[in-house]
Amino acid sequence: MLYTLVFALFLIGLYATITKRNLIKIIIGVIIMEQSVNLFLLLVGYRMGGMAPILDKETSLQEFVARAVDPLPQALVITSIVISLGTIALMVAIAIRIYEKYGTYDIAEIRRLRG
Amino acid sequence: MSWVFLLVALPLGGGFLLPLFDKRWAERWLPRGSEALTLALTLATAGLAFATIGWEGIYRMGGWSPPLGINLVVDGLSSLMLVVINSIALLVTIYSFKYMEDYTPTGKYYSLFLLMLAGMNGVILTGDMFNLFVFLEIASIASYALVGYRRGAVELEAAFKYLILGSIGSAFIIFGVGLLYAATGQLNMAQVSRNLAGQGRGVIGGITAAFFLVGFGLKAAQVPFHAWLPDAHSSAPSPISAILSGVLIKALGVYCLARVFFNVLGIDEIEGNILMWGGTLSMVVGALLAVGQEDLKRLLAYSSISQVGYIVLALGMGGIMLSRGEQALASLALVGALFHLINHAANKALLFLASGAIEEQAQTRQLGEMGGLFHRMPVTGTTTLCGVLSIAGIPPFAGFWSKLIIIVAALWGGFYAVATLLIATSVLTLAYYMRVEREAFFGAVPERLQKVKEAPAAMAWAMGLLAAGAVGLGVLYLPGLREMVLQPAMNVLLEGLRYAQMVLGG
Amino acid sequence: MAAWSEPGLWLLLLPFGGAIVSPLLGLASRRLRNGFVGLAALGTLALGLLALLRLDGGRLALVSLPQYHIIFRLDPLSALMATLISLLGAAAAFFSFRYMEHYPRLNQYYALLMLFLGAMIGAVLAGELFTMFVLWELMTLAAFFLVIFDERPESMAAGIKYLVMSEAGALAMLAGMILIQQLAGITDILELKRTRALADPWLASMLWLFLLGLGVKAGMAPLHTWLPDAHPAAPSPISALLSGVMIKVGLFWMLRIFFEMLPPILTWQLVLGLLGAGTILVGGLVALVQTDIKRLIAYSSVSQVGYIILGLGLATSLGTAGALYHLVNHALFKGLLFLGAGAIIYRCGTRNLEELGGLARRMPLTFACFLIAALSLAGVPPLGGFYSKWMIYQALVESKLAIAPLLLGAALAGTALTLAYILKVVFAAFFGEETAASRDAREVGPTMAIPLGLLAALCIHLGVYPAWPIRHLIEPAVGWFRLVGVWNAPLATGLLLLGLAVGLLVYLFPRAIKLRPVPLFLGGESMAGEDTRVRGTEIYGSLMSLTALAKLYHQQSLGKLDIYNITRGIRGGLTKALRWAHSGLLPNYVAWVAVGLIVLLFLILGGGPR
Repeated sequence: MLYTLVFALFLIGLYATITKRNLIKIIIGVIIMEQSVNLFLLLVGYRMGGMAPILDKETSLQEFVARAVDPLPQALVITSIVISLGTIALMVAIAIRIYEKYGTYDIAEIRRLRG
Repeated sequence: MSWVFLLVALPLGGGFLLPLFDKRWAERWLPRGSEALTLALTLATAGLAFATIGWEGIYRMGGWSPPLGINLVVDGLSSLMLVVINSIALLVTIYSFKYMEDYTPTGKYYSLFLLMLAGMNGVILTGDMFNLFVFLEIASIASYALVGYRRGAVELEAAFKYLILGSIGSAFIIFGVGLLYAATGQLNMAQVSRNLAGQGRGVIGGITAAFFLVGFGLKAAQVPFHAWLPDAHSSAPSPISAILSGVLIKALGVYCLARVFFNVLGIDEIEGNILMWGGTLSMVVGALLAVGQEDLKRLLAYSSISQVGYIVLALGMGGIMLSRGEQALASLALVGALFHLINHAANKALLFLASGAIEEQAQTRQLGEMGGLFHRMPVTGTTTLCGVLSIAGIPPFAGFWSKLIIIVAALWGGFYAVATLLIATSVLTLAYYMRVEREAFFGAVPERLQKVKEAPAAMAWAMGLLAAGAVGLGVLYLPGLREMVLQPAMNVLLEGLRYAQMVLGG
Repeated sequence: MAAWSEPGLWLLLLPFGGAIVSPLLGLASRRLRNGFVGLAALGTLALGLLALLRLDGGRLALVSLPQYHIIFRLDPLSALMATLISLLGAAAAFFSFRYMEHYPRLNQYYALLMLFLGAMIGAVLAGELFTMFVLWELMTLAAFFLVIFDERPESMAAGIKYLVMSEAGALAMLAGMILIQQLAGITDILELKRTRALADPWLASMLWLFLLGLGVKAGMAPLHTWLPDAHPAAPSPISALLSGVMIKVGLFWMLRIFFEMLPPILTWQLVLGLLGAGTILVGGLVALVQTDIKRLIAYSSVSQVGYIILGLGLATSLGTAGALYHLVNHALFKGLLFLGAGAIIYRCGTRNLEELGGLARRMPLTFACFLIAALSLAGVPPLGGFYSKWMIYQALVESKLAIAPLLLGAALAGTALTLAYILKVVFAAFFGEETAASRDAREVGPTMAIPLGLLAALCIHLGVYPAWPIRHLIEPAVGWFRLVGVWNAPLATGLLLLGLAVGLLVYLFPRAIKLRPVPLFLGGESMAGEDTRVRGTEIYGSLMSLTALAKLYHQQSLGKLDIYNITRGIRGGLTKALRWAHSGLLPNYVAWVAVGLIVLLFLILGGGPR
């Protein structure tokens, strides 16, 4: 169920990049896609009523194995977030530069390269 | 082989070191320090890449064994890719010295260049799905920035389109990686492969395959995911275009498709057909679009779509044959694909470097404004001619042999429609490249170009070496040399499950 | 392994060596290079003759590396072709010394010339399909660079058209070879000939692919359209080689494959017969209305190629022998015609027949040689062309094919057309009043005259004394055939002469309507100017308007009937549509990705349970 929602979010992001004409909105569409993937990764490692995957002195190993959520996807998500941060920063920077050159954020007018 | 990690570490470290060289102290005490460091690093990685030939094994990062830790895997396929990537990177570095003189700041340029190289080497070497994604993103982000490096209106537009489509592609890839983890609980490619072989793929595996096809298809610029390529590759500085068209789309796109579908997911007939027909479509559409181009670099970019189509087509054909159990035919198709990959890397890098030389000397990219450049730039003219004849598939140039093998595989496998299109596209390729020759290189020299001179020596040398490749790479298929490079790489794809065995043992 | 002591092997290697050495010598001195090229060309010729004589009807492996698909073999047929190529090559090389002296980059020219010769010789000596393909491509490439040598826009367009059409044909042929390799497992032509593997119906369908490739090169209608563009565009000595021998390499391989490797199959007899007849008519009809001397001769090549294909199509020994003899004759007289045209162009600086006239007095030797070639082309006894055409006629008369009368009619019409168009050239260029261009013409020098004279002498020899060449060159190549004396076969001879008579009428008919030219007077003053001259070519203008062919002629002159232009038009439409789709709109591009995703999901998941 939740997976379907995540996939729906992914499609919403894709839909936004297709239908929106404003550069910033397109960027937000891409962000939505990337975040939906991050959510998905978290969901993969999630377990109902799980605990944080931190092994401290109070939890026994058995309890940890039985209850802790999978830590690996969390590590992946952190990395993924960092990467999308880099991409998004670059996107926004380029979008601003494009505005300087073209004087518009309308993607329909930013089409000197065609054919 | 404990030094394999250096292939990634050296350029990665260099990439972060180089911005320091744009500081004033560096300019005073170390003039051209960034160039020297880049040259040293690319020389080193090229040497290391050649040293991996014939070696097979894994490097455990941090001492963790697979499937727990991330490990770097060297096999025939990765050595082949490493050699192609790093040797072309070396030549492009030499070429860049002169070409990038007009641009500032060069330190950032070389920094991004090295990051891209590190990313590509990492993609080739890594044995971990998520790590693959990380390296792929490193290379991609560096390439986005490099495409827009000139910061003109068109360059920014191209970079933005490339960035959006590239990020969407990356999102699909990471989604696929997540699905794979959900299905198998593993990220190590070998272990994933073993688990999938045991449990079967199921629906999730199917969705994963589709997502990877979209994601890597975007990186490989296969129709209908190709739209960013002509913009991006024609707007980047020419040495970067050479790297992008010559190796990046192959490292991030074709190699990943091959590795994931042959070694991890295990290719079946449907996906083989998808790859084959997708490749055929790209081949035809790319060629048809290239014919109509006025801008030389744009023409070359569309030609890349077409030529990569050949490679993907042959891969898909090999996949179909494998799933039908026709090992001998499959090996032919796969060798054809890998051989064409090498040839196209050399040829297209050469042609983009030549277009850069023309752009710098004649100050134009429009074919209509050129003419008679053969008489003004003999080295560029000769090297381009070699590249053109090779890419158009005229014997005895290298490109002919790889196309021949692909056509033979298509005909012997009974794919007559594909073979017909292959032949038709070859003729079309010849036609549009001959148009380039005619409009740019032959004929009378127009008034405006009377003073054009040959490109500087460093650029000419880089082009000359690549031209030697365009002429002579055909020998790679000769018995004796074939066993060194092509055969081991082909075997990796042919015996998909051996990969897991090699990495995990047992 | 290679037979190092055989002249045939050195015949193969010498031109390639010449291609490497001549530009190096050219760096030192122009004279040294020319001397070397002359010696190399003569040496090739001598080796060719030596190989031909030493072979004496036998067969000889020159290079044999079957594991690499490399076999070169000398047999009577290939030795004859190789000698013919080296003969024309030597003539062209000597002719070039003066003709080309004002061109730049001559080092490249002579290197390409030697490469071209070597590739052609290699392509006929190849004893294996893939060997032949590589040499064939090398030949195409060398010819391409020679055609575009002067780098004028029109020669570049012609050269690219040639290269693209040839490549399309060659790749089709390559596909045929690959399939033969797969299905029969043999690519050695000797083995193919011995086992008759191609007679298998499935394998025989590969021959369509070969027909495409060979047909393009041979100039067979409707694949001939590169020929009238490329042959005139090249420098004249190269035109002589292109028309004289390069298209013959295509015909030679047609002979190899359709005559040597196949038993007579009705389908192929009909196909080749009809294509040959069509080629004769197309070439002849279009040649009639040309005004560019080289273009006219190029169309004439198309027409004559039709005769050769027609002869091959009969699949009888006599027909094939006639075709081969016509091939030899055509090589000689067409080479001579192009060299003669080259001499005219060299002296007068124009190739437009309307600007030429009265050269018979100015250039008597050229005129004599040109006339001999023209009459041989037209098939006037007792020249070589007469004899070979007669053999083809006789083979047609003897043929049991149902369409033989039809083919005979086409051949007859072709003979008439040939005489008419070639008389037009002779009269327009050599007779009539002198023009501004021809007024100062002088006879050509010895290096140009000797090749002309030599070829003319051979044209006469092959007609006056055909027994020796037929006995010693043609028969060993195609096998024994029944040959009755010329005058013992009244029907064929009569028909051929009838054709000539009709041709003469076609030529004379428009001329008879014109009034006798009298000096024009206007206000008492004589007007002997360019405007009032009745040009030799004008009479044929009436043909274009008189006949029902007018419409076809019009379309043809616009290039609308050209298979190359038709394909280009279709391709242009597709390109336009695709460029329109790449509108630069990012959302569209993303939408393509989404569509791709849906299609892929559908294909992969819809493929059924796994």
